Amino acid sequence: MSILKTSKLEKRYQKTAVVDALDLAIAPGDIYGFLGPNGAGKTTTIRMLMGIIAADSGTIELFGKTRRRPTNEDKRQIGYVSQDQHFYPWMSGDDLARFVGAFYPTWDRGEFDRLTRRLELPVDRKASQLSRGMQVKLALALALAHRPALLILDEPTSGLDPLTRREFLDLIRAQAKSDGRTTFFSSHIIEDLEGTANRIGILKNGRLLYQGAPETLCREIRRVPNAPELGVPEGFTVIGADERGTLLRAPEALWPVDVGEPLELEAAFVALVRSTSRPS
Amino acid sequence: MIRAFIRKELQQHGTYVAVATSLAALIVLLDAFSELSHDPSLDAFAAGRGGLRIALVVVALVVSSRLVRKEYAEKTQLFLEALPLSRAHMVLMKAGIGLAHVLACGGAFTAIAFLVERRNPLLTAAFVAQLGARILAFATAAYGVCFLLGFFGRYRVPIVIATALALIYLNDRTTFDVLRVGPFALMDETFATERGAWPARALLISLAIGVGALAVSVLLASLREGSLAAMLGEKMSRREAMFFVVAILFGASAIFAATPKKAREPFTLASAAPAEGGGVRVRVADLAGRTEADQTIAESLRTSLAAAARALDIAELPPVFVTGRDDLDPALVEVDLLPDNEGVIVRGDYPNPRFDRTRLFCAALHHALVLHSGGRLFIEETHWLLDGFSRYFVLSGGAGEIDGAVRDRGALRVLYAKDLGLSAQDFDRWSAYRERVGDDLGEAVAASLLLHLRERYGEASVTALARTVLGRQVPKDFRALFDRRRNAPRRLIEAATKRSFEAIVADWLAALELTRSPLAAALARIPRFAGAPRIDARGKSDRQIRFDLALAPLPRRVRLYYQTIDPLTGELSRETMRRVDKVATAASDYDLGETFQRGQVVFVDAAAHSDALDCEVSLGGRRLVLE
Repeated sequence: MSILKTSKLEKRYQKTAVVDALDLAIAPGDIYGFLGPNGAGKTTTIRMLMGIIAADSGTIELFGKTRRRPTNEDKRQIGYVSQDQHFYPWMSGDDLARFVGAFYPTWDRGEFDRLTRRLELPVDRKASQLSRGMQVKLALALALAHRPALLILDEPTSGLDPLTRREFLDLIRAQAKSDGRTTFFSSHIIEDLEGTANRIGILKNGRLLYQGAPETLCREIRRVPNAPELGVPEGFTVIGADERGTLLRAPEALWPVDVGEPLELEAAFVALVRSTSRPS
Repeated sequence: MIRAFIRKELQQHGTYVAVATSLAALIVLLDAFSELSHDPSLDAFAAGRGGLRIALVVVALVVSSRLVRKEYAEKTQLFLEALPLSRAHMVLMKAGIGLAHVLACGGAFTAIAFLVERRNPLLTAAFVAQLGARILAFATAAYGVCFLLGFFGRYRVPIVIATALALIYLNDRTTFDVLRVGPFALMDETFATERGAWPARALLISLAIGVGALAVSVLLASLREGSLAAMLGEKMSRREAMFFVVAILFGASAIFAATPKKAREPFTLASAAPAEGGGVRVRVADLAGRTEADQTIAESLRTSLAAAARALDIAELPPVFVTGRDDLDPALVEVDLLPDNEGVIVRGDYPNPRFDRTRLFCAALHHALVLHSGGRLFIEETHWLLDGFSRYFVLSGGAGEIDGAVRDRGALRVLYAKDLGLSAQDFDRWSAYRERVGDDLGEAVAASLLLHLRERYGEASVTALARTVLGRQVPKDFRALFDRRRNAPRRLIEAATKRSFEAIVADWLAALELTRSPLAAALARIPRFAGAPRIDARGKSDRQIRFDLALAPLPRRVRLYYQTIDPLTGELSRETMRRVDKVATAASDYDLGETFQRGQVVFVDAAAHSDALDCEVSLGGRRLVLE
C-alpha cells in the first residue's frame, strides 16, 4: 500500500514536458529521496503533489484517495518545506506559528515549541532578521508542528552551511524514526540522502530513470575493466565509461558475484543521469 | 482560519489603512467646510458629496494596493499557496476584507451625515436609504476596479492613466457622456437633490462593475496557476517604464489632436413641462414628478420673459429651468447659473399656493440678463439698473396684470428704505448700498426710480435706457472699457433728460413723500432698528461680537447674519451667510455666539422679518475690523 502514488503524471509548459508520465510510489514510513539534476522537474512534481499547480494529465493518490489535484483536506495532512522561504518579513516565529496553526486542526503548539527549542530558533525574532539556515529550520518546525502524516521537502538543504545541514538531516531522521513519518525529500546533493533515504527516485528531463533502494542501484551499476573487448552480454547495458573501465547496468541477479566493481551512490547517480539510455 | 487571515491582514496593513482612512476623512471634512462656506444652506450629504467621492477612491486604492500589490510584490502569496487554502479562497477573503472596509467608510459617512441632519424634514428614511445605496454602490465599483488593478502589478499605473485618458476622450470627443453613467452618475451633482426615482440603472451598472471586477480578479489570480499575477507583480524595468511614458504621451497626444472636441449636450430637465417661443425656453419640473400646474407655470413664465426680451430687444434669452424645493420659504427662491452659460436654474416651492410668482419672474429675468451680458452687468455703474429692472417691468405692467398687493408692498418698501437714508450717491456705490439695506429693499428702490423716470420722461426713455444697458451684448475686450463709461446709466439718464442725476433723484425722493400719508400707519408698524454691533475682547486674540439693539415695534424674532471676509471674498449675499436666530426681547443685548480672531474682518447685520414688506428689514450691514 502507498501513502503517495502518482500515475502517468504529466506537466507541460507549452510543448515541453517538464514532468513526463511520472509513476512514483512511496510507502508509509519511507524516507524517499527524490534525486535529479537542476531542471529535472523535481520542484514542478512537488508543486503538483502540493496542489499548488495542476497536472495536465495523470493522477495522484494520496492517503488512499485518487485525485487530479490534492484537496485542502489532503494538504492538512502534509507538512511542506519549499525550496525558498517566503515568510512575511514582519512576522516573528511566534506570529507565524499563530498564523499557520490556524490552518491545521491538528496543530500542536507544544510540538512547535519543542522543535524550535531543539533547533535553537529565536521565535521572537522577525523572519526578515533570520539567516537562511534559520529560516529553513523555522519552515521545518512549522511543517512538523501539526504532526503531518507526510512530510514533503523541496531541496531544503541547498545553500545551508554543513553544520546547519547536519542538524536539519538529523531532525528528519529522528522524526522519521520516532513517529514513523513518511518523508519525501528532493535534492541534488547525494550526500544528503546517503544513510537517510531508504528509497530513492532519480528524475531526468521529467522522466523517472530509477526508483528503488539506493543500495540496489549501487549493485546494478558496476565498473568493468575492458568490458567492450569481452563484449556486452544480454541484459547488460553500457551506460558510460571512465578511465578505470566501462560502466554497465544490469539487474542485480544477472551480475556474477565476483564481476565488476559496485559504485558509490553518487557515481551511480552521475552515470545514470549522464547515460542516454532509458531504463526498461 | 478566516479570523487568522483577517488578523494577519490587519496586523500587516492596519496602520497604513488607518492613516489613509483618516486622510480620506480629512478630505471629506475640508471639502464639506469649503462647500458650506460657499453655500451654508447645503445639507451634510450635499456638502460632503465631492469629498466623499475622492475619499472613497483614495481608500479603495490604498486598501487594494496593500492587500494585493504588496502580497505579490513581496512574493508572500507563495507562502499562502503552500497552506491548505485555495487561491480563489485567498483572493475572495482579501476582496471581502477590503470591500468591508470601504463599505464601512461609506456607511460611516451616511450614518454621520444622517445624524447631523436628523432634524432635517427633507431627509426621510427612504431618501437616506437611496443616498446610502448610491454611496455603497459607488464604493463597491471603486473598490472592485482598484482591487482588479492591484493584480496588474507593475502595469497598473499605465492602465490607470490609459483608462483615465480613454474616459476623458469618450466624454469630451464622443456623444457618450461618461459622467452620466454608472458610478459617475451616482455621485454627480444630482446626488443630494434627485429624490424622485431611484437611479436603478446606475446602481445596477455600478454593482455589476464592482462584482465583475472582483470576479475577474479571482480569475486573474488563478490564471496559469497564479503565475501571471506573480509575473505582473514584479518590478517594472526602466526600459519598460520609458516605453509606457512615451507610448501614453504620444498615443494620447495623437488621438486627442486628431479628433475634435464634441459640443456639449445642453442641460435638460428630464420629464419637465416645456414652454418655448419668443426667444425664451422654460422648463419646469418638480422633483417629485411633473404635474399639470408645472405646464401653467412654464407657460406663464415664458410669456412674461418673452415680453421682457421683446422690450429689451433681445432675440434669445438663456434658458430658464425651474425645479421644486419644498424646504424653501414660499416667499423665497434660490438661483444658480449653469456652467458654460447654459442657463439659469431657479429653485423654489412653486407648487405652494403662497409661492411668490413675481419673485420667480424677477429672479429668472435678473439672472438670465446676467448670463446674456456675460456677467458685465455686475459692474458698479449698471448694477442698480439690473437689480431694479425686473420688478420695474412687473410694476409697469410689462409682465401682465399688476398685482395690487405687489405694487403696495413695493411702495411701502421704498418709503421704508428712504427713511433709512437714500441719496444719488447710493446708486454709484450700489453694492455697498444693497449690502446695507438688503436685496429686497435694494430691488424696490431701483425699481421705484425707474418707475419715476417712466412717469416723468415716458416709457420710451426707460426702455431705451434698459435696451442700451441691459439688452446689448458688448464684446469682452478693450471695447467693454469704453462702453462702460459711455453707456453708464447715470450718463445716459442725464443725456436723455438734460438734468443732473442728483436733481432727478431729489425729484423722485420728493415725489415719494407725496405717497407717504396713506401708508404712514402701515409704516409705523414695521420694526425699526437702532443700535450697533459691539466688539468684545476676550483675552489677547479672541474677539466676540454682540449687538446693542433697540427695536420698535418688537418683532417675533431677530436674525443675526455674519460672514468673515478675506481679500478674495466676492459680492456678499445674505442667502449664503451664516445666521443665528434669536427671540426678540425687550433686553437689547444679542450675542452672536461665535469667537473670532483679532484682525479678522467680519460682515454683520441684524434683521427681522416684516409681514407688511414681506421681506427682512435690517439694522444695516457693516464690515467690522476686529481690533
